Amino acid sequence: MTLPNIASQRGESDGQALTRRRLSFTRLTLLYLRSKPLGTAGLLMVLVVAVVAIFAAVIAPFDYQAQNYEAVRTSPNTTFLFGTDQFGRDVFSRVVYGARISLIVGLFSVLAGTGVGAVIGLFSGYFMGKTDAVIQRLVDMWMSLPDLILALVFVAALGNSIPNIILAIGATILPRGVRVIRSSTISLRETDYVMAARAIGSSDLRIILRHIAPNTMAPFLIIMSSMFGTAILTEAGLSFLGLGIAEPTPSWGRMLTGQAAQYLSTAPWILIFPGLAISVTVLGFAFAGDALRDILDPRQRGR
Amino acid sequence: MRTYLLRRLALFVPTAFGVSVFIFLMLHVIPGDYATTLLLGGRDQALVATEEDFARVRNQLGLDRPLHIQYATWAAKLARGDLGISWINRQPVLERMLPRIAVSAQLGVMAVLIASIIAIPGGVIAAVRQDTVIDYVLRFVSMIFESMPNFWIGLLLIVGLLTIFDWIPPISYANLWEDPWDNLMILIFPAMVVGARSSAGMLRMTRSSVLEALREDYVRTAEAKGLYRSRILFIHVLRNALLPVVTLAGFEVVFLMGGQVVVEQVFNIPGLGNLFIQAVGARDFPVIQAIVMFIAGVVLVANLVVDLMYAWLDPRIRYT
Repeated sequence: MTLPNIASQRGESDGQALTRRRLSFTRLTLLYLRSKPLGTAGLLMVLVVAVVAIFAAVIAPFDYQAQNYEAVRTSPNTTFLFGTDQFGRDVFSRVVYGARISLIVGLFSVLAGTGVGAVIGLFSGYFMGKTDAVIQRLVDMWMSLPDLILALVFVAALGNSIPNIILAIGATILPRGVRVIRSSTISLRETDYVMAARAIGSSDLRIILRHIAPNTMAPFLIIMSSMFGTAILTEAGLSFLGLGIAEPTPSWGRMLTGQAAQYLSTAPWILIFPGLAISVTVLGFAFAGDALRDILDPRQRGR
Repeated sequence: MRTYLLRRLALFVPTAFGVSVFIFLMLHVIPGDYATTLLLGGRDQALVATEEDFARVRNQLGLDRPLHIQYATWAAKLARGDLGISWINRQPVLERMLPRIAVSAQLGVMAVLIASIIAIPGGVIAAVRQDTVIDYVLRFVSMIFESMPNFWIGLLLIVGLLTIFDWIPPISYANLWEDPWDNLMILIFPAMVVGARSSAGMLRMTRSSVLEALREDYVRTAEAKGLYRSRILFIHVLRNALLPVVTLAGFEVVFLMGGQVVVEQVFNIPGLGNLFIQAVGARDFPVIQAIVMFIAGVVLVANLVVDLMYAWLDPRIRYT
């Protein structure tokens, strides 16, 4: 199937589309910022959350654990920006610290999942044959389990420490990394420069590392950015079910669980702000990821 | 076609076998077995339970036998449809699962119906009015739906219903056949929450499917003949574009089995997800294994059927 030249429909010159593969990082960033307002907005949202997470200690006015029984379930005011919860803890400070957990769990699970997935995908796609067939069956099997169910099995088996949760969420991302990198490896191994490298006697490992891996960077970044939001949602779901990050560490999902639900009519701010934080972060990643995909992979545009 | 069908069927068996090995190993290789949980109940009661007690419990549950024997026993029973007995209340696992499968399936069907009502017209409008304000708004809203955790949407919906209609989620559950109206009223809100999320993906799929159909040659021919736009849209475009969408919407019910776990928890619906969470919390391994095998099984079957149907519908697809 031939695809219509969408780049020209979007009012970009054909030259831009043609040279896209050879764009430098700086030019790519500029192109992104100039042509993708929504993506830039998403990037800003993510940056704000990242800054909040890094400087949580400076930004949060209170200790996230400090219980103030003088001020239980106070509605949002100038002292307690987002109000206080049923133990008199400052919801704003907890949301600020919660950004740390979300981003740390999101980042490491995505890095682990896509990273390991990419390595498997590279070798599976490059060597094809029996190994590939076996790996693809394993991926099928892996993907027949819904994300949350798979993550819950890991947590049930290993317990719910932060590294285990990262492992569990990383495991849900892994098969997608394998699929995406494998399919681009398969098309890359037929290219002329790989043939040429093989002809001059380069070893398989050298071809994979020097010639194929760098060219899978675009799909790698795309899958990473699109999985980030999913990872954060999975963490929130696990924590909400009481099987994720344990108290007292403030996790956004955890803040919405258990007793908090009892106060939803009398003190809705306990629920509104953590949920809003999750949504804004995930939306930021979705916008940024979509724009990145448009820039790096013009064929997928508008899908 | 026949070779393709046979090959796909032949692949199904090792995949299902792989899932069973995986889930079994996950739950049995880990340190700290079930006897500890059962006897100590998470508390430090080491003084109460003696080594003999541990040995007896492990022996009763068959945990003292070699791993491959344990697996073979379980797998053989599984193949005969015997899912074992719950460690928590000694009930047969199948008996506990069946009514819950019905509840989850009903919730899934309702959610998909709601999602289709939003997504299919939405996707068609977005495609027909591509790159206009309405297209952007629809896609923007669908992204927002996808970014909000569904348990949070559920909680907000409950707040809204409580303040506006003074409605609270019922504590008991009404059976569909005994009390259909109450049952629908209980499930409609969770179905809306689950549906809102699946509508996002469905909307994007409808949109791209319709966009693709709009660019086909037969649409240009129809335009050249001077047919009305509405006739082209309904007769030529939608008939072709919506077939895959409707097909996949049907299978979404299956894929939602895992996706509605959290929502069942929020609305206190006694579905399969709810049982799964209970089992995970209590480390009731036979129940966890059975539910995972069931979900993986239906997803694998659904994938198989989708693939075969595509190969049958579209002769251009010939996988090697």
